[in-house]
Amino acid sequence: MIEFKNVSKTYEDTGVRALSDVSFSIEKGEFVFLVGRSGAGKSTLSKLIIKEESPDEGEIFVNKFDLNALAKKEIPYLRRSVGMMFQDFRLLPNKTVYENVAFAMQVIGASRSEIRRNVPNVLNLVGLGHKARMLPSQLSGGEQQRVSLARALVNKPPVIIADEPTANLDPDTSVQIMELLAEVNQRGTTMIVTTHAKDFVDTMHKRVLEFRDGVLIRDEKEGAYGNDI
Amino acid sequence: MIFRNAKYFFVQGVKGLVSNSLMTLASIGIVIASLVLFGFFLLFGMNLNAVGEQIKEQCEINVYMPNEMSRDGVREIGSALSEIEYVKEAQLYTKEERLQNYREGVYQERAEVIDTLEEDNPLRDAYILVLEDVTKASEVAAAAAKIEGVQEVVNRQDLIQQILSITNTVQHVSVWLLLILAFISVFIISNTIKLGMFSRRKEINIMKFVGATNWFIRWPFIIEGMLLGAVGAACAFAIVMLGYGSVLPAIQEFMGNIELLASAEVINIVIALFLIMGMGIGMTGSGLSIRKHLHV
Repeated sequence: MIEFKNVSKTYEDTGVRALSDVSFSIEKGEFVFLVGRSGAGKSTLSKLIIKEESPDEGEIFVNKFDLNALAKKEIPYLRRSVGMMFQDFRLLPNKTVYENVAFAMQVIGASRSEIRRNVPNVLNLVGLGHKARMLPSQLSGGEQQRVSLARALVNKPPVIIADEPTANLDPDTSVQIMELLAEVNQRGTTMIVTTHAKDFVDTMHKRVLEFRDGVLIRDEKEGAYGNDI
Repeated sequence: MIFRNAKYFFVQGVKGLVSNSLMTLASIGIVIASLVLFGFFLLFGMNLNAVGEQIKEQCEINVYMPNEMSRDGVREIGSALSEIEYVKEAQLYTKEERLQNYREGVYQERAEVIDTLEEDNPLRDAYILVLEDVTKASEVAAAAAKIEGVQEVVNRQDLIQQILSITNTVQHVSVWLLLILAFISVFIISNTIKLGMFSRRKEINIMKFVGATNWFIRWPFIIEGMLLGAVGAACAFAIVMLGYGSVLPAIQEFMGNIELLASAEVINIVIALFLIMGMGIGMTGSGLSIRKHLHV
C-alpha cells in the first residue's frame, strides 16, 4: 500500500538532511504511529507521501502510484487517495461544518447528489450530524478535529495521514479522537498518525516507526513510544 | 469537468469580485478609461476612412483653360483630354455655365453682382474628367497638365492623400495608446487577482491537499479576471456609444454632404472589439497572477 525504498531527502535551501536511506512498507488496513522528536523527519515523510516534496534518492509507492514516475498533473489524483488531518484542523472559518466537508467533494468535481448522500453519512460517523449547520468557531477543539477527520474521510481514501491530531486538544478530547481514528481504521482505512502523545502509543499497541535525525531507528509491531524521545 | 463545475467557477469568480470591492472598482475603472479612449480613436479612425472613401468616389479632376481661349481651342483640348488613359469622360463646363451656377448658388441673393460680370466673364472654361480608375488620378492629372493650352489642373487626390495620412497617424497613435493602456490594465487586474488569491490562500491550500486539479483551482480566478474585463467593456461601450450618438448630429451638420458613420453602422464592431479586448485584458491579468503566485 505504501512503500519507501532507500529514500533520502535533503532540503536544498537549508541543507538539512531530513530523511536518510529510509525503507519500510505499510500494508492495507494497518494503523501506524510515526514517532520521534521535532525535526526527526516525520513531517517530511508525510510531505513525500502526498508529493508535496520529492525525494533525492529512492523510490516511493503510494496506493497504485509510483511517485517517481508521477506526472505533475496526476498529483491531484494521488492526493485524492490520501486523506490529510492537521493539528491546526485547517477548516474554513466562514463555511459551516457541512460546507467544510462538502467543499472537499466539490473541488474534486463530485456531483451534488453524491455530496448530499456522503456528507451527512460521514458527519454522523464522527458524531457531528447534529452540528452540521454550525461554524467552526462555534465548536470545541475536539469537534473541529472531528470535522477535519470527516473531511479527510468523505472522499473515501484508502489511507489517512493524521499529523499530530491531538496536539492542540485536552486529554479527554484526545482520547475520543484517537478512539475515532481507531474505529475508522477498523473499517478498513489505513491510518498513519504522527504524534508526541506517549500515552496513546503505549496503550494502543499499534505498529511504531521511530525516527531520529532522519533515520528510521525502530520499526516495531505492537510497539511503545520509547523512552529517549 | 469544466461544464459540470461551470456554475461553481462562476459563483466563485463573482464572490471574488464582491469580496474585494475596492480593487474591483479600480480594475473596472481602468478598463473603462482605456477602452473609452481607445473607442474615441477607433471611431475617429473609422470615420476618417469612410470620409476618404466618399471623397475617392467623388473624385474628379478639373482642368482649366485660359479665359481668353476660343471655344474651338477648348474643344480641341477636350478631345485630347478624353484620349488620356483611364479617362472615362471629359465633360465641358463652359464659363457661361459656371457663372450661371454661381447665380443660382452662392450668389443667389446678390444676382446684381453676377449681372455686372455678364459683359466680361472672368471665369474660365473647364473640363471635368471622370475616371475609370480613381487610383490613377495623379497620373491622369499629370498627363492633362502636359497638354498644350491647359492652364491649371486641380486634383482632389491631394486631399485624399492628406486624409489617408491623418488616418494612418490616428491608427498608429491608437495602437500605441491601446498597448500602453492595456499594459496598465493588465498590471492592475493582476494585482487585484493576487489580492484575491491571498485572501483565499487557506481555501487554495485545502483544495490542493484534498486533490483538486490545477485547473479547478485556476478557473475561478480566470473567470474573475474575465468578468472584470467584461464589466469594464460593457460600461465603456455604453459611454462611447452614448457619447457618439450625442456628438454625431453636430459634426454631421458641419461635414455637409459627406456622410459620417451612423451609430448602427459602428455598434457591432465596437461591442465586439470592446468585449474581446476587455476579456482578453482580464484573462491576461489573471493568467499572469496565476503563473506568478498560484503554485499548484
